[in-house]
Amino acid sequence: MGTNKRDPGIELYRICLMFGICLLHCVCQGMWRGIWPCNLLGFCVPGFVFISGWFGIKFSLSKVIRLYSIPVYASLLAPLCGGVMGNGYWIDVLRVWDADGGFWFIHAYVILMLFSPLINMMFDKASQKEKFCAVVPIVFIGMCWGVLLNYNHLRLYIPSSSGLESGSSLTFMAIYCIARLCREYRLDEKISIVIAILCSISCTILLSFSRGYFCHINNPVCLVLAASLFVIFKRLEIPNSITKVITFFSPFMFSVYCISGTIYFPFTEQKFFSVIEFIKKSFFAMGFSTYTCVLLAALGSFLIGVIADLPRWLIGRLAKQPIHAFLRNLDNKYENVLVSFSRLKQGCENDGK
Amino acid sequence: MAIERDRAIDLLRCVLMSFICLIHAVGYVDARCNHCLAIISRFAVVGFVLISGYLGVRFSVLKVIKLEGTGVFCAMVISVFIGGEVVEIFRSYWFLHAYVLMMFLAPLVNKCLEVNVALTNYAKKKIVLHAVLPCVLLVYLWGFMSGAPLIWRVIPRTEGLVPFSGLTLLAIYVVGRCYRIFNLQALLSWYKIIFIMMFCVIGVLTSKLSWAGGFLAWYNSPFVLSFAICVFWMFRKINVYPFVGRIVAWITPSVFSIYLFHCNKGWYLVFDKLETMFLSWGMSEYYVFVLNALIAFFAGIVMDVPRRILIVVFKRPLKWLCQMIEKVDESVFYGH
Repeated sequence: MGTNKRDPGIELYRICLMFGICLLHCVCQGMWRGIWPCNLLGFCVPGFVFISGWFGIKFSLSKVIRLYSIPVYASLLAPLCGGVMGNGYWIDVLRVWDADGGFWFIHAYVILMLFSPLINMMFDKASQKEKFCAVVPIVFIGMCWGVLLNYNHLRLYIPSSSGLESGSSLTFMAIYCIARLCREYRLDEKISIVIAILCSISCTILLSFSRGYFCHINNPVCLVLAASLFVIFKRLEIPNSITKVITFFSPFMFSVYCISGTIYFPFTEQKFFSVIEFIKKSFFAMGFSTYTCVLLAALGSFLIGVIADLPRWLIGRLAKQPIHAFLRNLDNKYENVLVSFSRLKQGCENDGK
Repeated sequence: MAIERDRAIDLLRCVLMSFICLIHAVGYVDARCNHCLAIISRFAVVGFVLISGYLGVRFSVLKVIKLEGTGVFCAMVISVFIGGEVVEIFRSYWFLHAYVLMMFLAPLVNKCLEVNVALTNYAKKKIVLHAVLPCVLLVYLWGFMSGAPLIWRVIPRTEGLVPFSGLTLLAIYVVGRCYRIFNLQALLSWYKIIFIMMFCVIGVLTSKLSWAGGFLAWYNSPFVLSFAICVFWMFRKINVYPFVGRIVAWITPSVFSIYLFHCNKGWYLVFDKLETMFLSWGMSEYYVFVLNALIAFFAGIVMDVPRRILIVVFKRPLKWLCQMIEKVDESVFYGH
């Protein structure tokens, strides 16, 4: 858990997933909404959480701050987009932070981070049976109860509670637990690449023709596809030259999501218009076909994300030492609070004795 | 997990349920949601989960079926005798569903705390806090602040961090577990309790101010939680007389049904009719609310009698069914 050496296959998988998310943003609203790949791309988000679960999350305050620094930066870029595209974007900058806004993933992911010490402790310290007892209910919530609520006919008869939505932290917790189990049982070694490819093809077919029934993030089919693709990418042998390109793009992936999430968000409630829509329409006006326009818009939003993040990346590199020192100091303070609290409690217990 | 029932806790359950009846007797009209009687009584909901946390919840499929089954039964009774659709009534029991959600997550918390509580050195105790603190902060800092005036615009909002969610109940459950593990009962005294309660009442009533917008008095408010802890502490100090204990023992099995019977649109019509009638008699508003709450409480007990009789009548088949489910439970989750 928490190894510093990055696997180029997994990094490539992350880049592909991010491109998939950019594509999803292009086809899930506005012009050509709901066209073919829309159903299929539901596996991209679970794929990201699966990777986190596989490698494990170690909670620290500095990680949360680092994580939120990216959406904050992306939000600051939004007025710039507003300046280019039109007026009235200031209010929408804050709307991006809503539950249904562009950054829903980050908020749910941070909650997963907050719960990760509990889940990690369960996996590290509990017996197999205890682990099973704790994990099965979580998986049931995320991958069964929540899934049934996605279907219009069933949802009327199934009890519902806040937090069971497909994009909630409970779904992420379920995926995280499954990924940890997969790692524990060495899924990547036990499943041959042929089986993984067959599994991904069958899931792709199922998702492609499901007319939206299986494309929710919390659907087990999406998770199976994400897991089998993970196995495939993990086994890939990547040449050094490509590894260098992957290593360059890899640190920007989260920023691409945030910036793509920001520019995907409509400018005003009255007029449905976003940067992605602008790109799509511009290419369409140039005479490109529908799918070419969508692909170009996805590629455009991906590259805009990378380019727009360069200043942040550069500032981060230049101010590396003070930023690291500040964050390390913060983590130490958090640790000290915990230590002093546990000392206080122990003191009370000793008094009691 | 206690096997012998603690009558003081059972009495607390009855008292808390009467306050919950009061919340609904006042707040069944949306416009009165922020009425001082309703906001003061909200500690009762938190208190219920705190009790669960203190005693510990052992997840089992049987318990989930029992809880949801009671919900279906009560919804059917209300639908047949008072009105409304069964499904709609059943779906409106937010607490029931959030509580079940909390039950699903409870084994994770239980194991984490049980594994580490026996350890004494700082580092290992720190692990407990490391695991528990983020989970509590999630609800009592993030969830709480996302309802705060002015600030809410810049606080990220996500699914499941509302006061009525399973995650909120889980955080309260964790506090209840910690209350027991860290023996908070011994750390507090009457002076501290009275001071904290006064402070909390002021805090909760502040939410009446127009700028506050009510966020200080919801279930994810630290004021409401602290007040509930104080009430819980007080009841742990109480010695229940045997006579009172017997009455409480008789009422306790119906406590959850009382909630299910009165917290729905069907019973809200009854509240409305009773309120109109009492007001026409010239009674003051506060008396009407209290009277309505008491009627809902006792009506709940009476309406639950058929369910309890049915349980006695079908004792054998039900026992067989429960044993079957328990066997599955044991073999799947708790067997060795």
